[in-house]
Amino acid sequence: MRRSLGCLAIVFGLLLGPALVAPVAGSTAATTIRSASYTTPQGAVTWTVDHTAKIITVSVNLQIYAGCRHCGAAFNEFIEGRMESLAKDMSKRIRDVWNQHNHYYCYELIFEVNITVGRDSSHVDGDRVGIRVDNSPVNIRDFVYGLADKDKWNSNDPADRVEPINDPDHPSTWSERHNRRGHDEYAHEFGHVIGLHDAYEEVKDPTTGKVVKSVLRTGAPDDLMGNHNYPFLAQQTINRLVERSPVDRSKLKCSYRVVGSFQEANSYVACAGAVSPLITDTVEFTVTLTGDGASTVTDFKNSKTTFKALTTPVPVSTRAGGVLRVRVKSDPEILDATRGTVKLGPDHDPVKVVVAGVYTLGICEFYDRTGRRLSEGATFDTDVGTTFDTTKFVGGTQEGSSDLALGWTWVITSL
Amino acid sequence: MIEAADLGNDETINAIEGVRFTPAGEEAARAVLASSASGDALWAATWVYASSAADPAPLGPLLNNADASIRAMAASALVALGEDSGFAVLAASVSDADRLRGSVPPLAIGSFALSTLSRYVAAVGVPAEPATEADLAAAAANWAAWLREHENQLTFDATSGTWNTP
Repeated sequence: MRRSLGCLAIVFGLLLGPALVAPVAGSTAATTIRSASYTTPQGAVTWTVDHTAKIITVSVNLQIYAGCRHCGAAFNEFIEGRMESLAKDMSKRIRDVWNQHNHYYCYELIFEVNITVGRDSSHVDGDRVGIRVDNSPVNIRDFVYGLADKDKWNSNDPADRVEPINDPDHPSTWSERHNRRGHDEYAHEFGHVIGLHDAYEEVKDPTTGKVVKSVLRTGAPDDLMGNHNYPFLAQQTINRLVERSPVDRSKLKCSYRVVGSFQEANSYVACAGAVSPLITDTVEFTVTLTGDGASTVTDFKNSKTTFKALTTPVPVSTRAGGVLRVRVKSDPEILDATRGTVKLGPDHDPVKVVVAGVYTLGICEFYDRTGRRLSEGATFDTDVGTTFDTTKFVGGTQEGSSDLALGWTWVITSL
Repeated sequence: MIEAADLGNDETINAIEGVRFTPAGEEAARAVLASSASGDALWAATWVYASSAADPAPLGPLLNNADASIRAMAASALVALGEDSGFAVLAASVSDADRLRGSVPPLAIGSFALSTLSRYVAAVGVPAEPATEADLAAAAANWAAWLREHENQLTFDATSGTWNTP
């Protein structure tokens, strides 16, 4: 299907001109594919998911070759002596930048890159993306040639991911010098190979039409794909990468056991008119998130509320000549949770969980030697909850926020 | 094709990409350089010619061009070819923060000049290549000072394609 779309775009390009053409070079503007001999390298970029280990592995096969083979001694020395080491250097730079424990929900992304040295643009292996290494003194243009619509830079639709192609007449090109500005150009261009657009755009002078500067696109994160000075990936970019990928996101499942603990000293919530030195309760439940945005809250476990012996807030002398005493006639229950909802933040995080249930105000008996009187009990619908971040677990656990309901603390364990 | 170059139209530049590193492209670029071309056509001719040519002669006059990007590209190619005439332009360009026209991703002329110097001057004691953007200003100053002191001593090793001091 995707291949058909690509061919369709080319036909449009030939028939209608560049304004409607979809194929683009990853780092340059929309352009017509001029060569009919381009190929889409099958198997050059593969995605595999280990649901047990919670790992998504992106494997990429590249093949580099020297741009100039007739350029004099210096260039020949480069061609013969440095391509292998350049391949290793490229691999390292790419892995270092991309393998920084980036997660999609609870799945860690691992990026593997295999680079071989080839001969020229006409002899690139069918399962590799060919990269021409610009070894010239004017190696100032780095790009990946592929199929995409540059206006869809922020789409998370798989149909809009950049698909690298091998076109002998329009080879993807990376400069020999990757670190001339402290920039990670190889890592940036690698982002195009695996499906991402540039997150910056060029600004032209409206009078002259000449490019005067480049700026981050509106809404784009200031990361590797928008600014080569930043060798890290924002969560928004990682999410886009995975959501554009062939990975079946509905099968990505991340479960978390949430334990909420309520504790209040000198508490008035046990029953009306009495105070407990300490009252506690706990609730447990499981939150499951799936990669397609669905969520469930299940497996509730409500403990029984415990409390220390109640008293009146201050000693009360009675007419009978004693002190008014208190005992619990019907136990309070801080929370009996029965259901929950989940709301995800803009880039899946934070995860806000709200559980709903019933709070039961206990019934106390106030008595002295002459008689007794009962307080009024009641039940109330109540919500408590917490927020946590799927990417911030340390040793598998995380303390959730306690700002949704007073008195509660939360511990979330990644299952 | 080269005459039609328009840096505001990627179509035209991508078409030229297809002839870079080819003898035909090099010859076409030489012809444009020999003409009265200016603007983007001259930029493209300089870029294509400097990419692969071994004859420095057409590049020399470009060192005085009004376009700083063209000057820098010509200077880089001349230095790579063993012509010391490019050093003065590179030294004067190291602090130029303007964008090198046609560069993708965007590259400052000064960064390009620094990169060229780091690449082709292999002498002992040359300033360290800037590791980050924050190091650029210091690197520019260090290179300008280093060239003032050592430029006259530099000799070109055609085997390695680099410049050294005795």
